[in-house]
Amino acid sequence: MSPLLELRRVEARYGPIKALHGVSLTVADGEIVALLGANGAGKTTTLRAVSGTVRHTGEIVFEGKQIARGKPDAVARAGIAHVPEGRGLFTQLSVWENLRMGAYVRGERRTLRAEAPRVFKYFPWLERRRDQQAGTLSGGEQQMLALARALVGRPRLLMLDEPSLGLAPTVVQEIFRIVKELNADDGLTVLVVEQNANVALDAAARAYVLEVGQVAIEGQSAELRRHEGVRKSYLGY
Amino acid sequence: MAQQHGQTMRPAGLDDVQIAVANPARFDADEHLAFARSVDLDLFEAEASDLAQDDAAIQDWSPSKCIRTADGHIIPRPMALLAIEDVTRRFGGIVALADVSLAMEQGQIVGLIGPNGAGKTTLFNLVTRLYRPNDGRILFDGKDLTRTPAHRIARLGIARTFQNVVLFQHMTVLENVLVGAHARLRPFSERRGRKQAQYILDYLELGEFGRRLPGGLPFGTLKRVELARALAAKPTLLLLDEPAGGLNHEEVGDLAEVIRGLQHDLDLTILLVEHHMNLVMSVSDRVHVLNFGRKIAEGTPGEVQADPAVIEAYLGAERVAAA
Ligand SMILES: Nc1ncnc2c1ncn2[C@@H]1O[C@H](COP(=O)(O)OP(=O)(O)OP(=O)(O)O)[C@@H](O)[C@H]1O
Ligand SMILES: [Mg+2]
Repeated sequence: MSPLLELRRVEARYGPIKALHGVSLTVADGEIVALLGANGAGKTTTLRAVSGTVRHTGEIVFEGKQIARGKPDAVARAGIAHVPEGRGLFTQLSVWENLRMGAYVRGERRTLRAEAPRVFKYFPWLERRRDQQAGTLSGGEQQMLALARALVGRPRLLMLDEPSLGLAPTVVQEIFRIVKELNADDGLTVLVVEQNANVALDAAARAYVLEVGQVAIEGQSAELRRHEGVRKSYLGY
Repeated sequence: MAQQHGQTMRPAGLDDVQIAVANPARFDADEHLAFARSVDLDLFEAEASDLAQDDAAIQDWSPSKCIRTADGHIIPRPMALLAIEDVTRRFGGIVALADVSLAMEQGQIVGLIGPNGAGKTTLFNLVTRLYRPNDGRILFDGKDLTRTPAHRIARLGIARTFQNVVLFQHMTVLENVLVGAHARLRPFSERRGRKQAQYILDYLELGEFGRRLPGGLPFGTLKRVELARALAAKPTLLLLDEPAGGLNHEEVGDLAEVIRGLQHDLDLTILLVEHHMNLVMSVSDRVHVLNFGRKIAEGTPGEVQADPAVIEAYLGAERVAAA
C-alpha cells in the first residue's frame, strides 16, 4: 500500500542555518506515527516543511501528489491540519471565530455547525467560553482550542506539534485518548511530535527519532521502548 | 518591629532600589539570628518537656511574628520575601483566583501546580502588576505591590518568563537579553550591558546563539533565552512559567540542574509553574496547588503528591499507579 504521506530526503534551512539534512519518512493511511527528538533536532521544521510554512528541497508526497511548496492554504485544503507549537491561534478573535477559521480551511462554510458539537463533546468548557477572546485563555485552554480548531476542519492527516505542552497530566492522557479514538473510529491519520515519549509511544504504532536534522532511529514503538538510547534520553528508565 | 529587619540581600550597586524600601540596611542572616537569640534565648529557651508552656509563650509572643527553631529556640519570624494575602481576581464571570494566599521565604524554590485554567499564570500577572487584584494584598519585601506601577516591578527585583514565549522577533538573541538589563540597570551602560548579557548567555550555554534571530530557534532554546532575559534584570525573585516546554526527558534533567544552580549560585528565590511533574517535584522546596482559583493543598513535594485531593483534581490516578 502506498503511504498517505512520504518525505524523501527533505532539507530545510533558516537563513544560513540548515535545520533538516535530508529527512525521509512515511506515514501510512490510518496510522499514528510519533516523531521524537531532542530540542533542535528538526521535528518542528519537519512539520513546517509539510505544511508549507518553511521552504524545503526534496520531495513531500501526499496522497500520491507532490504537495504545493510554500502554500500553506493549499496544503490545508488538501486535508492536512497542522497544530503548531505555540498554537497559532488568532489571539484577537473569539473562541468561536477561531473554530470558524478551522472549518473554513476546507472551504465549506456549513461545516462548523455540523462539526462543533463533536469538539464540544470532547471539550465542554469550549462551548461555555465560545465568546472569550482566544488570547486571554490560559495556556492549556489555548492548546485544547488549537486541537479543536484543527478537528472541525475534518483533516485526513493531523500533524500535532507537542500537544502535551502546557497541559495538565490528566488532560495529556485525555488528548491522546481522543486522538486514538478518532484514529480508530474515523481513520484519522496522525503524525505527532512529542516530548512526552511515554504517552506518544503508547498511542503510536511506529516512531522516528530525529538527531541533528536526520532520522537516526526508526521502528515499532515497542522496539523503541527497548532501545537503550531512547530509554535514557526520552523515557527516563 | 521584626518586619523591619527582614531586608533581603541585594546585588551591590542598586542603591536606588534600596531607597525605595523602608529600611535600607542589608539583611545579614547571622546577625539576624544573633540578634534574635540575644533577645529571646533567656526568655524562651525551653526544655523539650515544656512544650505546652512554650506554646503558650508563643501565643503571647504572637505566632505571626515568631517561630520556633529546630533546637527549640524562638526567634522572630523571618519576613517572607513574597507574601500573597487573600488575593481574588475575576474576569467577568470567571473567578480566576479566589482568596489565595501564598508566602515564599528568601532562597526558596516554590512550585505552583494545578489544572489548566486554575489561575497560575493569573497569579504571575498579579505579582508583575499586569493585572490588579480585585481584593487582597501582595507584599514583596514588605512593600505593597498593588500600589506599585507595573514599570517599577523589574527595578524592585522581580523578573519573569512567559508561558507563550514573548521575544522581539526583529532583534537578535543578545539584544533581547539586553532588553532585560535595560529594565533594571540605571544608568544603563551599553558596553557593560552587552558584556553582562553575553556572560549570562554563556552561563546558560546559549553563547553561540547571541547573534541569531529568535525565528527558527527551537522552542526549548527560546524558553531559555527568555530565562536569560529575566536574569539580565538581576532579579531577587524569579517567576518561571513552564520552563520545560520543548525539552526531552534528559534535557529536563539538565534544566533542573540549571534551576538549582540559580538558587545556589545567584541566591534567587524562584516561583515555578510547570506541568512537568518530575521537574516540579525534584527542585521545589514547597509546592502549592490551585484548582478553579482556590488553593487546595500546600506542602513538601512528597506530601502534595500523596494528597488525594491533588490526585483527584490534577495528577490523576495513572501517575500514582506509575509511582
Ligand atoms: N484577561 C482575561 N480575560 C478573561 N478570562 C481570563 C483572562 N485571563 C485569564 N482568564 C481565565 O482565567 C482562568 C485562569 O487562567 P490562567 O491563565 O491563570 O490559568 P493557568 O493556571 O495558568 O492555566 P494553564 O496551566 O492552562 O496555563 C482561565 O479560565 C482563563 O480563561
Ligand atoms: Mg498558565
